[in-house]
Amino acid sequence: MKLILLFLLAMILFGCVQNKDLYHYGDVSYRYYKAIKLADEKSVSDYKASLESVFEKSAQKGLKVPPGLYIDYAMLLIKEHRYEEARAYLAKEAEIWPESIVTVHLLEQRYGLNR
Amino acid sequence: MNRVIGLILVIVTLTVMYGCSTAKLATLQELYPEMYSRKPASILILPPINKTTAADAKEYFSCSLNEALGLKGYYPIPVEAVYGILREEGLYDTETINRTVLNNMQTHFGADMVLYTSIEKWDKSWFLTSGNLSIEVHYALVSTATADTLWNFKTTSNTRLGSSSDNLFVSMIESAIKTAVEDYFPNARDTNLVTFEKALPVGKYHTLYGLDGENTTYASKKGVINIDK
Repeated sequence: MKLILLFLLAMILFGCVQNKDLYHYGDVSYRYYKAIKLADEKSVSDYKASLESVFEKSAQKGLKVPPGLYIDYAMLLIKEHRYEEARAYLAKEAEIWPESIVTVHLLEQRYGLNR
Repeated sequence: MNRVIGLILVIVTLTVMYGCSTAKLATLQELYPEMYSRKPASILILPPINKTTAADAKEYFSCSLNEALGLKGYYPIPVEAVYGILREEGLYDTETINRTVLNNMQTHFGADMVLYTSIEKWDKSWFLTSGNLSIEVHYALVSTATADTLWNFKTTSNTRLGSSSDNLFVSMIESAIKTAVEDYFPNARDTNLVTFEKALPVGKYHTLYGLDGENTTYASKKGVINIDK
């Protein structure tokens, strides 16, 4: 009887537990939407700051930076013509997310970031 | 003591049953077997197809899908990097994507699947003290190698946009304003998050990877979400 009870409680907990700690996204998706929608200096700057905040908080929490965000940051750096830094962030993405390697190579080629 | 345990058991059982729905359910493994056998990891999010008159709906979804897929353990290829290239290649209209283009998504971006999102309905209504937003979205994950649909689901989300005021006049004004000027990004984001949470098998980076095949969702591959704001 106790075993059944424990099993059912475990089922509930299993159903309720969400994978909240997989990554920290903060408000980066909303800031990205605002940057796309308004496309002004402030909204783009807020978006960039939200990415930097994700990098910082992920490190503090010992989490991986969510997939794609280093590429997103590199894209902003490319627009600012900061190509060396952009290349470094693309390399970070490729290092922690092997699935990104094809896209990273494509972007390096496209923006002339190949050494 | 046994009676107490028995009572708790009944309550727990009812809670489990209530958590599920009376609608016919099936396991994720039964509904989406190829998501388990092919083990896709990377997803290219195609620009959403907007069949509604809501001008911002496409951006609401394109900007919120990355996070929703990431949290399910997949590698979503960043839309900012992809969309610029699709625009230049004349492929920004998702309706024009054919099998050859799908294969190219694998070759040039390393995508195992593409995500099609079609916004079918975006209806705002308002009556006296409450407003409502109803969104219907169709999702499909398609293999870039074979063009087979590996996963699909249709979601209708209903958000009540009411007022918290007890004053009828204030309540009417508040809900009218809320319905008219609401920033609907969170609604699109919630629709994606809940849909994937309920119906999408987890990807390789999720802690439950390989363990969710017996989880259930609606056998019809259609679901309704009700959100109170």
